[in-house]
Amino acid sequence: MSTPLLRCSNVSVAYGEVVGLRDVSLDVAQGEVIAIIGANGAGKSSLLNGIMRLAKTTGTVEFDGHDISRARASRLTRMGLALVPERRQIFPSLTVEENLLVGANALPRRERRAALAEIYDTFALLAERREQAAGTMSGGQQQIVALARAVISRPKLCLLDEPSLGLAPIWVSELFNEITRLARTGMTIVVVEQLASAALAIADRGYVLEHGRVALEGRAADLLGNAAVAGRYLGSVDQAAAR
Amino acid sequence: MMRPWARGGWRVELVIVLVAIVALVLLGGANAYYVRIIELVLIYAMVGMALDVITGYGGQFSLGHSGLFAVGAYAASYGYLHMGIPFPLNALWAMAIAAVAGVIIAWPALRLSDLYLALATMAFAFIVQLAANDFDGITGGAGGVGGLAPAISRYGISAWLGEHYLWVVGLAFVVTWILLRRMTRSRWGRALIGMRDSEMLAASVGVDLRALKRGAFVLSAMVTGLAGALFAHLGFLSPDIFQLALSISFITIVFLGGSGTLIGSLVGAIVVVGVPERVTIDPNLNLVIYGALLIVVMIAAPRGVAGALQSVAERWRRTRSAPKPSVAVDVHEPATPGPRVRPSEPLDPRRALVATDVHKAFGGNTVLNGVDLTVGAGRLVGLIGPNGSGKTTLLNILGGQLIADAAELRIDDERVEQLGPPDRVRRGLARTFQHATLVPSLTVSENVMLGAHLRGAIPFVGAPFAVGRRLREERALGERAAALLEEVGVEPGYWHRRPEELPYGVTRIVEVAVALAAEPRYLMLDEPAAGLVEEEIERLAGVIDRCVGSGVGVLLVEHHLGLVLRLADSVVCLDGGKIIMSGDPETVARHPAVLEAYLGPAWATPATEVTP
Amino acid sequence: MATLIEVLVSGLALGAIYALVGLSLNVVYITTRVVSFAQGDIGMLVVAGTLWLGDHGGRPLAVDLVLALAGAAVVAVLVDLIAVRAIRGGVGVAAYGWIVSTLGVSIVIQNSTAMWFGTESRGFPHVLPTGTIELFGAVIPTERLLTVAVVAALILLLALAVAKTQWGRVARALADNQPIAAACGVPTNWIRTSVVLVGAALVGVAAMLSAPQTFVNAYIGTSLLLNGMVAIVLGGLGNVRAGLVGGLVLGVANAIAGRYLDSTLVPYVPFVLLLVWLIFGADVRGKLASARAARRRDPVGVTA
Repeated sequence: MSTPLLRCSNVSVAYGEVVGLRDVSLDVAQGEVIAIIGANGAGKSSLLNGIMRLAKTTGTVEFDGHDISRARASRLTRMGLALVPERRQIFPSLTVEENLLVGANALPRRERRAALAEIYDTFALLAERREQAAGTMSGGQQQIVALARAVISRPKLCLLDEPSLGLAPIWVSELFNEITRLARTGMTIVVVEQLASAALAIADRGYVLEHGRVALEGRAADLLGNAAVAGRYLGSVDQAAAR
Repeated sequence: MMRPWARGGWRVELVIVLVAIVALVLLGGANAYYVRIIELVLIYAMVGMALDVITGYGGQFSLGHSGLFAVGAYAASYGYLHMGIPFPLNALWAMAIAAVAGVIIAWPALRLSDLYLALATMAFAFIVQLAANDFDGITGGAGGVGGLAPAISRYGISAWLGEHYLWVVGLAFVVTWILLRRMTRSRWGRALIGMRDSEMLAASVGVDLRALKRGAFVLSAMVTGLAGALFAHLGFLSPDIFQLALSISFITIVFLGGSGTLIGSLVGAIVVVGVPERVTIDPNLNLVIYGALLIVVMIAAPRGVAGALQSVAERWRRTRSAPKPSVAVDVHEPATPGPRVRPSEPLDPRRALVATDVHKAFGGNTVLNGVDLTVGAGRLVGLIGPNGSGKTTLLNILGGQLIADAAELRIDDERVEQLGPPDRVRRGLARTFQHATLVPSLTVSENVMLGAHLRGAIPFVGAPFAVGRRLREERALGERAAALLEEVGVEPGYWHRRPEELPYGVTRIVEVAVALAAEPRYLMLDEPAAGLVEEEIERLAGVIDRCVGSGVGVLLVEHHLGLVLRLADSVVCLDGGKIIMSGDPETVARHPAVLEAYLGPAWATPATEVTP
Repeated sequence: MATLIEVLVSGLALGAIYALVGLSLNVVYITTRVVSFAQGDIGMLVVAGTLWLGDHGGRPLAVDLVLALAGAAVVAVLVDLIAVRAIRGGVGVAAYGWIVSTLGVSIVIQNSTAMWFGTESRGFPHVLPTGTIELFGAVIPTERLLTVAVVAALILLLALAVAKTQWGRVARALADNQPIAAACGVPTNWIRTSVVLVGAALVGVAAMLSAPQTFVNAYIGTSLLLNGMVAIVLGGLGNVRAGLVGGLVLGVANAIAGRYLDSTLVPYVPFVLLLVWLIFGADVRGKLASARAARRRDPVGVTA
């Protein structure tokens, strides 16, 4: 395999005393869609926060051949990394268009308008509501805003942190269709999800995290519906039954 | 970080007092003028201590103490000169007037948050400053009020007092210090610090925040008024004295000397008042240095001089005592009497924590859509569900941290929706939080003792005066804390450490102990196992089990299904704001709807068998 | 009628200055959540510095003004770096540590200025053209009208910048969510510094407009700050447009009080207004705040 677009080597993430991620290594090749699943507290968000330099990490993270382990968060967009944060975290007091323009900050000024136009072509919803304050939108709509804000800068790698969180099922399928479409344009995608089936259904490969470590990995099709995955996911239901 | 002086802290206080005495003697001397300086230092130190109680301990930022000081001074002088009240009775009169002023400010103003409170108290200080100039009748206007010091000698006995005024002031200082110190070393000191560091935690253990803020502010005003009265009798009052700059001086005294230490204000007063009087350089340079000191202190040593000494003493004491306990948690195995016998009699809804038809929406999002929940006494209900399902919101509504759009909540058949957290605690409800919430400035045992705040009996006004009772109460609370910590399995080596020094797993267990300290009838635990390792989860399970066995109704919100299945009498699964499944643990955990909620449609087929 | 017009214009001119100080405080607050108690003194440095520069070298006034502005701006950035950012992470004092440290800064600036400026109060040259015009029988100094015009222009300019430029967008994004703004590629430190610089410039202009009507000494910063603070409290912390209204209300109230009330009562007006609004306006503030909060994501946290 050629050099992976993203490589994490022995990455640990800690928030003060609490260890979120322990010694995790994984690779993401160009053009792949990777699903990271696991129960709450398994370390999924910690992984993304670590990659995006929003949390303290040890270990090495390499992106596109560069070591970004010590880089500043604001540099990463320019390098082609983008994040759709947990719980969307759009800028509530800004309008949809302003949110998108902030996302396009890394682009030179001339290109921003063009990128904006492209986004409006792709996401009709946003074109309709470009002047609406993002904070007044529903969760599902905000998720689209957050997604568009991340991809407007045409990143090489897009990280999505639990995009289905708090969304009604119909929005979930909309969203995952969108992600698939983006993947088809050649974007590399890493989706962290609690809703394992939705994530695995669109992914090439998957990793199951448990207690901050990689418990299982493999092709998404193999993991889907797998009983061992369910067991890991629900924190060893079987062990409890044995008591 | 500031903390009340634990046993042994008196050594640092003694050192400070001795150093202060030496400094004062050096500053002072036989010269009458320099005796005045010592009197001034002691008076300002009194105000410093008063301010420390409300700002250093209580976290309520007041820029208005120059106003209270003025009120006390002018009340005393007016009482003496125009109402014929002799000294020292006019000082009591001044305290009363200042207390009234304190009540007037405190009642509405303490609802305000930090910046607004600072501005409101600042406005008060300015108004007093202006009024001092304007209300000639009382204050003598810009010309000032004179004739106070010599006037003392008009009353026989008072002549002696006038000559020995330094001892009068000194006595007042010492008595004030002793009384305030007693208060801060009672449960009220912990409550103040808890309120400062974490209002949410303080409220959740039953501290009535509003009453405490008001009480502390009035106390602070009274002491400041007394200091003002003593100041008046130094001789001459002029409105120029009572400017905002004086409030800033008081703030400096507290923060430079040591906020949250009381005696630190003596050091602060020596530096702020004494030194400039004795060491005369360019007065502007003086002030520049003092301003710079303030900045440096806030950046480098927010605990001030006394606080820094205290840290040094702590560190020294720590290196001399037993080495830091190992992280291995096998040392203390509490006796496990075996799994709890599940209750057989039917649930009595009158002895239960009941939530009926809870609705809550944020903006456009409906988070809870008609949820019913019952936690019976002596039973454990597990509450599970994926992220975003509404579990923590439900807990917050039950606990009083959040108000529902619609809900009927009952504790032991009494409706409580209208009550705030402290009142619910009083009715037997306790909880832990999802994110670590211990008071950072207090030690582990002090945190647990704070949890038992409502078990104390000495009222706020009684605290400065109750000597024997206070010691007995403190000892009882301390012993109870020790027993609880032993029962939950926290090693004694951790008991006198601060939360920041503990491994994460230990802080979570301590939080459970804090909640148990209130002797609740109903306990709500929000993901207590999050971030814990196997052994710690074991111990936690034992604690919870024993708790339920002793008759406490427990609501356990958890993602760790193994723990829930072991401990629960019944399990409720929440998804999308509704209960999708409830019943006995085994059934619920394997139900396809639950699996689907967590994992998605691919796992909904009943044929899916989970293999080890 | 004529006097009423004069009083109103005078009040509006005063209020415009307060509003400008308030704007300076709000702009910085919006991005940093801090209200520097030394902000008024930054303004003082501009006018005191101009006078000092005027004493030392025969440059035109405009050049001195610009130089003094630049110097004050640098001081403002240093203050933010040293006394504010350094404080942010304390335990127990975190909430109001910056109040104490910026008070300390204020003391340092005021008294060190006294050392090189001297203790005498001095006049300040008029920055705007003097002269009067007649309006409905009232004689109005053109300076006052121009003050209102200048402030209005500045506020409009800044409102435009905040609303329409990329800088304004990212500054507002920073206030909403700093880490995510950084994750979007916003250089958060630079933006913060630029906001502090703008704040300094605004309060500097306010001082320039106010000084000719009064005087300059090392301590005028305090009254500038107080009036600005009352203005933003009346308008609601962080609300730029309302801060304007707050300043104008205060200015007109002061002017009316000055004309129609006993002179001893006049100084009380801002403080009484402030206290009354803080204490009794709570319900109104609450409703305004919840209306704004409803537009934002919920602060308590929906994840369960």
